[in-house]
Amino acid sequence: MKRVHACSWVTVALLVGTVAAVLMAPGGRSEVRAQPAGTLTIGVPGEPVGLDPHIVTVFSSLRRADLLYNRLVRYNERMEIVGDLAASWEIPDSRTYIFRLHRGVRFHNGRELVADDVKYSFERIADPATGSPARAWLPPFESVRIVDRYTVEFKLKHQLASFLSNLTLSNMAIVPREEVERHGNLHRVAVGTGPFMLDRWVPDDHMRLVRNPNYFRRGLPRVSEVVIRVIPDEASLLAGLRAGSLDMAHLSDPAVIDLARRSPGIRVQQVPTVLLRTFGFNTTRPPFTDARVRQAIGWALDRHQIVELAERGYAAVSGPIPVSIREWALPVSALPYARPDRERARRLLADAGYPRGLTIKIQTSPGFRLLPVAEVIKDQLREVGITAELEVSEWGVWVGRWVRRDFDSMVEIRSGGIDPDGFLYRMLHSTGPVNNFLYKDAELDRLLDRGRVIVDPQRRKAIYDEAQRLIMERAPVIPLYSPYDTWAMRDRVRGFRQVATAQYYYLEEVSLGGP
Amino acid sequence: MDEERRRRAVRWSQRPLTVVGTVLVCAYALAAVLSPWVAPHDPLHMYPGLALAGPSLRFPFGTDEFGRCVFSRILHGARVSLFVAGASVATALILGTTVGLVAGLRGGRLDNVLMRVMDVVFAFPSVLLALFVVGVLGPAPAHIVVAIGLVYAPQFARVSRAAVLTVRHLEYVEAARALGASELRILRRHILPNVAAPLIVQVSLTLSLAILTESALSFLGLGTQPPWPSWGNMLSAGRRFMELAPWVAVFPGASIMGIVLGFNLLGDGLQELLDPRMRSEHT
Amino acid sequence: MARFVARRLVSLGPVLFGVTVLVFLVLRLIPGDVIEVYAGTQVGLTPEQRRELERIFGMDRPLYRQYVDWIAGVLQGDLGTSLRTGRKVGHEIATRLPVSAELATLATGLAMVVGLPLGMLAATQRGRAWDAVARVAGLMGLSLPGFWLATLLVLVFSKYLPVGLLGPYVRPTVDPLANLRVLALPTVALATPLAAVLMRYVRASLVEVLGQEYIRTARSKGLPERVVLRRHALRNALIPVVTVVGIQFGYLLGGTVVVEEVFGIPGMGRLVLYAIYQRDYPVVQAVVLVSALLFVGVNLAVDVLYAFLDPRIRYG
Repeated sequence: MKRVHACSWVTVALLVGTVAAVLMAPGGRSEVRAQPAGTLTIGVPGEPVGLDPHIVTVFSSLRRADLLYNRLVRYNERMEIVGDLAASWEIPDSRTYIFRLHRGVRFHNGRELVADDVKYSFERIADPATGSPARAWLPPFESVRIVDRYTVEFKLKHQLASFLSNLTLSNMAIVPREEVERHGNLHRVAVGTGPFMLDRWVPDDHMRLVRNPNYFRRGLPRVSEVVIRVIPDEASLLAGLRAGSLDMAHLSDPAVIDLARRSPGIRVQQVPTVLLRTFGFNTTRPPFTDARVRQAIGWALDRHQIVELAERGYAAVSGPIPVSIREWALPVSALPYARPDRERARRLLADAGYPRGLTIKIQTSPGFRLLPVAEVIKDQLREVGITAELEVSEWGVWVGRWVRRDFDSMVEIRSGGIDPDGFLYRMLHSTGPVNNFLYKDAELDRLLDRGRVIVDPQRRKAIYDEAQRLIMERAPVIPLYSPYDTWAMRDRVRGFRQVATAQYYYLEEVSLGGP
Repeated sequence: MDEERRRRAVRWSQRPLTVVGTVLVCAYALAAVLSPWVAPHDPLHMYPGLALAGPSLRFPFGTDEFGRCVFSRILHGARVSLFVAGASVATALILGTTVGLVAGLRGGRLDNVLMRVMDVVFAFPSVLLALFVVGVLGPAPAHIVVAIGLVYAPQFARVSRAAVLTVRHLEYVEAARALGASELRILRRHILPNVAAPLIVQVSLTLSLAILTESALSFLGLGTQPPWPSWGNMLSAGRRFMELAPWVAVFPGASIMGIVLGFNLLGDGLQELLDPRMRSEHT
Repeated sequence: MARFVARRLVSLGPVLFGVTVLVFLVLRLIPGDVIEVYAGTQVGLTPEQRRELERIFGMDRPLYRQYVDWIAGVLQGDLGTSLRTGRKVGHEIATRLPVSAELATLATGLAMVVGLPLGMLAATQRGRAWDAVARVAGLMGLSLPGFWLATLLVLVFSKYLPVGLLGPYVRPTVDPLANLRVLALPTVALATPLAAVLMRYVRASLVEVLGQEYIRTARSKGLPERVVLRRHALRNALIPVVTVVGIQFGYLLGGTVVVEEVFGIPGMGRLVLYAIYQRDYPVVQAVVLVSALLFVGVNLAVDVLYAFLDPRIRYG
């Protein structure tokens, strides 16, 4: 198909016509699928920073890895863990996981994927010299054993209830050893098993991925190539959709989402993400050492109004576990601060010794919509006599202060995987790596320690229910909401399943209808 | 002397564009001074139910995404924007002119070193400079001022140095020096008056550039930070709503255009008034 | 002349040296380093992980060592490797610079086509209606913030005038026509303020020249105004304009962050902007050095041209 002759276009046209006729014929067999055809052009705001799935931390890089690599398991749109490279798995005891791989899966270089690649990939992640952020998500292994060519067994040093869930993270990709060894890392080459293969990458412009003809899910992908365009300005993304130069666009600016919804020929798809917008406190700095001040802020905030003003409604108010994780998240109505109670907030402030109110500082940054949230919070706190001063820093500066815990209070966007352990332990356990609230609470620690190792779902649920209530009551951080993940697409784009993790892998199922 | 002054005033008023510029600048300055009394609403207060409401009697310029009064924000924004512009130009003026005067008067190696330093600053990307200043000092309007001031200082240095060089060796300056006048006196009596004209023009032009630079920095998230309204950050936040609620962007945009126009017209007028070469042609 | 050029070339040395020191220090003094930004707020590095990353990024060496190594590399033609993408910075710049150069050339060209005649019109009609019209039009162009003009263009050409001027960037080697089509609006956005600046300089300079003694002489000899203008005034009036064009062109070569952001053009501006955000030291250092070099190089070329055009200028 390198050279395209006029006649072959005719053939394609005829073929498409025939298939369409079959599809539209009454009683036509629904399994008949169109030949993979067409170029799916996607607009995204962010340029990837490197492609090595084990090393990258940037959202845009991880999303490319979703298309180029596979993991052992993944989440479906109903938030259930399903097999990816693993055809099946069993957990004979709570420290042993045995994965059976699909047979005949091939890397883009043609070599078959085998159990050894799985072992190698996890060893690479666990090696400190790799500098992988995913290392923090893995428990120490007692052993990773190759049972046979297609079976691999993990033995954990201690139980980790979130292990399986953590394996769905995009960083947990299975990579071929020989390519890492040849190139040093996989930042510029991409040799995965994924539905698409890297064809061309022009930084800050576009990336062309072509269909992997040997993809192990037969019949997928349904388009022959995907072109990902980087257009930082969201208004220009929408302009691209309208002009037809883009088929899909990943949006986050509520103003642009509003417009996309009103544009003819354009459809908007949204799901609440597993991200959490938070307003957190440095619990070692006055006045936030006093739980009453933190609680007062909890009662003073009208989170529905924050969603309305800062996100134009495109978010769901949430407790400490993002509401989209339905299995674990308690409904907002069952937790404190469901509705603002300013009287109570003032009383708490008076009890804490601030009958005339006080002044606090909020650390924030223009990126990731932190700033509008802080602006609304500032306005709402004024009603209970709290004067909030915003300290707005450029993103890198802001991150620097986050790392040094150099802040009084801070608006953030948090991700923590899908399992409550991943989310809460890291954020609020006294030893948690991202507990920048410096919050120490023996009772909560005990709950989180138990939730980490108890595998029985019912007992686990009870633990995390209690933990969620405790967090809200003691309020080291006020969870605000889970933003929506938003895709706008032209009507001809069909069959995109969105997952709450915002991962891109289901693009493999997308097909293109008529123009 | 009075005669001369009168003639200048007449020439001034005979140029309609210069008058327009003067009026514009005065109007903006007035708005900035009077904003607390004139603004109908608190510029920071949010009316949640009224977000993105169109212009009305209650909100003459409509409301923004948080339901804040755009008109009141423009008036208060005049303070922020004019302060940033004025103070940053003052910074550039003091810094640049000092360097330029010293370099021009001393000459030699010091001149060379100082002007090379200015070249380095000039050739340095202003975004990085701004990020550095604001990142290290923190994001207060006063620090934006330092950043923009640094960006424009080299131009003042060049202008003032060039002006010094043209007069330094003129006969009357040499004569004054021969008569034993101190350097300071020569500077005050002979050099400064000659440097003043090109500097005044440069100031008025740089004022408008500073307004534009502040808005570009706001677009990149490095300008004056909300909630304090500057026209730059209002415009860069409002541009997202151009289609949905054009008033959120149009009014700050028009304010910027107006003041830039004003400063430029004023600058042109001053140039014609003060530049002897241009004047001679006109008489 | 040759001596002048040689002296100027020599004086570039200290300036470029100053730029390297400044960018090196400034980058490391800005709060938030490459590792912190890399790890972000979702990872939470332990001190061991941090040390490991410092080793990987080569930040465990003393600061002076890092600087010396960088300069040594540059002198051997190696601009370094991006810490975040692993790409060679030299290669990166080689792919971005032509994009920025094309845009800069187009914008400067358009600005001259519009700005020069307007400026001449205003100068020759000085004090009359056309002068006022040209000046106000020029000032309008100057007073629009760049990102807003770009936004307005995107809005107008996506919603009200969908004539296919918006689209992803296309390389001229792939499709020259499509390339020009998608660069049309960015060119207009960049050229507008530039045309205004040029118009003002041309006007001022021509007004000054027209007041000179020799022009009066030419006029008094009964030469037609057009001849006076073309043969005597214009040539001299355009000399200072060359400087302005040069400086502006030098600026544009270094990339134009705002327009590149709005239209999604992969030029130098975005390269350095994101590298700054990510604290990707080698990239920022190299881009700043290269654009400083371009900038001073273009200025030198302009000065030489200036001397060439205007024999009155002598360089000692």
